[in-house]
Amino acid sequence: MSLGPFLFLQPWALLGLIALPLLWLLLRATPPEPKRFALPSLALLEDLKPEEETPARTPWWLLLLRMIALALAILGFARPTWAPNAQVNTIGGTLIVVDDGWTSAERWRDIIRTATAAVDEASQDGGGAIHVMFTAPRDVARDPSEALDAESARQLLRNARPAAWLPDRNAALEQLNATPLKPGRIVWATDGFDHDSAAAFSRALASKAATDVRINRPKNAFAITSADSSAEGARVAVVRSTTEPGVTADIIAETAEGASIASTRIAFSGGDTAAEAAFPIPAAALNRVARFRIGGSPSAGGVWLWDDTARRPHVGLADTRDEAQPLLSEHYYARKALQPYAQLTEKRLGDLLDAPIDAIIMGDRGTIDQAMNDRLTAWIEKGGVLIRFAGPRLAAQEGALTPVALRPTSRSLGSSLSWETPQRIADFPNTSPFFGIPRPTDTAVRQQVLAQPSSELESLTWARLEDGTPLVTARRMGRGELILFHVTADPDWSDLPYTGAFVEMLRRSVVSGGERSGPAALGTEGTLTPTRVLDGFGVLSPPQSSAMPIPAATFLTTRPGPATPPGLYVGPGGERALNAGAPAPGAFNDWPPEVSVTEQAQIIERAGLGGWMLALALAIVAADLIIALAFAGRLPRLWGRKATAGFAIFFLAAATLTLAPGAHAQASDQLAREAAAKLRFAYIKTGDRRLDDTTRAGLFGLSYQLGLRTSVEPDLPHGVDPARDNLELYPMIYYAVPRDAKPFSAAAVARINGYLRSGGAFIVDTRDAAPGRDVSADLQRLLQGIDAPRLQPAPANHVLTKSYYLIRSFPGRLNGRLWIESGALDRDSRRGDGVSGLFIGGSDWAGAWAIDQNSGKPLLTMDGGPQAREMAYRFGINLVMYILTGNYKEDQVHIPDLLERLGTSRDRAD
Amino acid sequence: MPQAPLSQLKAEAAALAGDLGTLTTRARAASAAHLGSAGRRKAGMGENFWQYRRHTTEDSVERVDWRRSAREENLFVRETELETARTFLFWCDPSPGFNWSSADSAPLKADRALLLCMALAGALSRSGERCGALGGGRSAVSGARAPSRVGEDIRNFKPDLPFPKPPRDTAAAVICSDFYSPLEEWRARLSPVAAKCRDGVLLQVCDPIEEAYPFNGRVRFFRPGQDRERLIGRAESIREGYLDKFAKRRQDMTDLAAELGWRFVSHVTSEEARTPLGKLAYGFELSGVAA
Repeated sequence: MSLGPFLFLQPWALLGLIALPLLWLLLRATPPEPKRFALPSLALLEDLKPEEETPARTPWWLLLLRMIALALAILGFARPTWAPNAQVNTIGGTLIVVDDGWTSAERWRDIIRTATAAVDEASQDGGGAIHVMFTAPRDVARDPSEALDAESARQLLRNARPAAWLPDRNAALEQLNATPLKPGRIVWATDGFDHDSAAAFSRALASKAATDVRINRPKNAFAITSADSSAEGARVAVVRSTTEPGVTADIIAETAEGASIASTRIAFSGGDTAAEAAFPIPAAALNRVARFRIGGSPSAGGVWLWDDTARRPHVGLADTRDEAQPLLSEHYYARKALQPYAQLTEKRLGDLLDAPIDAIIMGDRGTIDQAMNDRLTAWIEKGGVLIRFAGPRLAAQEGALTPVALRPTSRSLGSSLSWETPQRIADFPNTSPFFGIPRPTDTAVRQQVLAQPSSELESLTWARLEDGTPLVTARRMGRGELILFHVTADPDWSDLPYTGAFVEMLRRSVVSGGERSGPAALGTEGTLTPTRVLDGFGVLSPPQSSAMPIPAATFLTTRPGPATPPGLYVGPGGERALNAGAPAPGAFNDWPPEVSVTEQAQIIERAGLGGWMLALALAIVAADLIIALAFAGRLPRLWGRKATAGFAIFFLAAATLTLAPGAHAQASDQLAREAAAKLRFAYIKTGDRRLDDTTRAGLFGLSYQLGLRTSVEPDLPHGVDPARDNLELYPMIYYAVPRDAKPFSAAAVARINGYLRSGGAFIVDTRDAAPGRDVSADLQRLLQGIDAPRLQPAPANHVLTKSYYLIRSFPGRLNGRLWIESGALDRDSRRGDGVSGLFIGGSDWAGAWAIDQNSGKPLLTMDGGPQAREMAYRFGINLVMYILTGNYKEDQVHIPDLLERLGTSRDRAD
Repeated sequence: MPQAPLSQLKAEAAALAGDLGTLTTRARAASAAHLGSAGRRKAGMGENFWQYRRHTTEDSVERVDWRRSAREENLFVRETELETARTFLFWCDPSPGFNWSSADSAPLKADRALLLCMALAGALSRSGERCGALGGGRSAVSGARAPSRVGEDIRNFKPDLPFPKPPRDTAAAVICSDFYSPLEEWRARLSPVAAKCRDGVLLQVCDPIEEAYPFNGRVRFFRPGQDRERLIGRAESIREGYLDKFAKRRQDMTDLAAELGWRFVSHVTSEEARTPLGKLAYGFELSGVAA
């Protein structure tokens, strides 16, 4: 249904407009419900200004606003579209022509939308059938005269897929002419390419009815026209349909499995429509490339399949002989050099010329009869590459097929009868295809054939020795190349075959020909059967039954079509690709004046208005809300309190979110609460679970013994993270150093220093005491940054030896010395009243103390049995006492014992 | 809030009246116009004997009670008990707007007015005054039954009844209302009553929200008992006007009372009930009825 230039796709929604007057009444009758109050003193207000009566009704303009919003919403739901050209008379129906070749694939959605828009336009008047015609040939042709209703036409378009070949408009036109169809109007949704038929086709259409051409042309690079392996990797040629400058496209190299192994970005310069992308892919990787693809342009033409021929040149080794000593074989080195990069065939020369061969490598060979000479010449001129190597036989031959005339003798360098020394190869001239190959510096050329000096010799030389004599010469013959290495193919005359440069030189020589995979490459026998075919969007899939084998003789002239879809074909000559992208069609711009043309046609298509109307309706509703709030006198409050509350809620939520990962903080708080509530020891969590468990069990054992024997009754020990947890709450923190310990983080060091300064006790146990070595040498690194004064071994009369038990040493599972702060000895500069805060040892005390939390049995064995363990506990208890009481025990309590001990020592001294 | 039961009001009124003490008329009121039957327990104009007293030089010869004087040597004057019983007539506005309160917790204006009337009647009747309802149909009585009779009669007022006719005999009138009806209407109503009643009090009982006007935003007002509603777009915008009107009405009623020779007392139900009682008593004192 249409209304002026508007077209409504859902005209039934317009029935909602009938409801508008009703809604008008409703809206008028129900202003926002005010609060109701009884007020007897209202009588006093009888004569008070009557103006406040007005808001009792919604103001007319607000009402109007709401009605507009409503009307817009209804219109929006009716999906209006701007279709000014929908007025064309469509008596006789509308014919919609759709280009559905692969050139349409990139913009397929747009093309289909354009066509669907035409269906919508056609359906609005209710008159006339709709006919849809696709221009790409199909194996089962549709009858374009079939009359469709709008819905089935839309469905047909929805289900349509682009073909993997190009449209054949002439055939389509013939098909159309064969039908009695007389359309009233024609809409041609085209890809905008010529296909050698655009002008004629549009004229033909225009002669039938008013024709409307709507173009959706690919915006960027749309087709790969060729992809060749080059010496550096691969070169991919792409074309685009526009001439917009500064456009780039991404070309992706994919493996057969679809993994992309390389991509390169090309920029179209200026108004060029073609560009070439170079893929610097290593040769080995290049062999894995199965296809190239234009990123973002999914079409059959945007994919270039690589077949065997394209990937690897076919190289024939002529007249090889089985030899008893393969290393001395003439072709051994060439074969080895080319094997990774080329398909090698070894046949007699005559047979090679019949086979699909790109290059022939011929060893030292003398006479070639005239017939063979002619065949060879013809073969080269068709694009073959003949690589000859010199040798005694060639040197003896006059008038041989060589790029340059040769002197009848060879030149020997550095032999016993020569003054000359073996020559090295000079840098490759920059005109040479070999340019860029590193010069083999250690290669000596001992013998070579010499070219007759001539004026063109310079330009024919690809490589020369340091003294300037040509080493490799080549001559372009037709499309092919005749190349002569002036040395033997084996190391007889030179070291060249030994070098890597030889490989590169051969590789480049092999691909220097004009046209590889020429007609000869295919052979003429047999057929090529499709194995994998591309669909219109450039996706490989198994072929349909309609795909036919192609005779090898006609393969190269075969264009992609319904029976021969682009894809990979297998024949006796190996795998061949039939690519859609070449030759790429050209854009067509000279539209005849009979047709009306719309570029980038989807713009005139449906989408827009409904959404805009709905959006506008929503905007009005939003404005209405604000107005209503203003009327109710709520706006300031909304700005004030509610907004504040809203912000508060928002920030609260945000804060909650930010704090959400702070679970550790909570755990840390929990630890701190527990630690503050009861005396308990702590150990540093090292991340080594076993070690942590042992340390924990050790502290538990010590706590247990303390509880048994003393009035110190610590609770279960805590594991702490020095970087996060509150250390100040623990009287003692035990650090059992793991084997692979890392230094503390800066935050941890700062906290541990703070802990020590505030009077904490930090016990470091490296657990590796050994005779003659107290603590790990690594300790200094581990405790880097810990604010430790000079350390000394605890002397034998230190208060640690008498703070609870009288002990003589500080044993754990091992028996090393205990290092304490020397300040604790030096009474003048003592800190913390001379009580050491840092205890360092390697005796694995925790291991000795450790007991099983459930059974109470010792966790680890130790030398000396229960006796030694008891001593370890005594040390532990002394340590805790020292930590808790400082040097209180230094005097008084044990005076009798001390005196006795002093006495005995004096006695002993005596 | 529904009407409070009369019995409850009676009890409250009795308590209030107890607080008020005994109201007695003052000498100034001892005019002929106020002759009544209630003994004042002091010498004055009346029919009953009160006392004999010695004749003083100020007394005229006619006043000498010769029969009493004949029995002794001195001259005696016979005095009768002062009888100045007055009639107090109460009227409370029966309109729905008066029979209303803003919240369930607040008493009805009419209930409060009735309570005050009954308390006043109680106090007055204790001092021998006769109390009744203006337009109540029954005659004024004195004594303990007076408050309840006043209460019953007032409760029997129908909202649609016209304002009562003035009493036949002189009386003091207590008119309770919110006085929100137009001023001229009140003048027309009260003038005939005032012609008969030299003394009178206009007691205005208001609801707190009527005095405070705590309204904001879009509000639809209606008067109890009336269908008409008024929608105010922004209630706060007319707040000042309303408060002016409210104050002006009070002033107008004060002026009207003065014009009639009456007193005007205003009361808000949120206040204690005894607050206006003092004012009422004071009002009657000034108008010649006082302790």
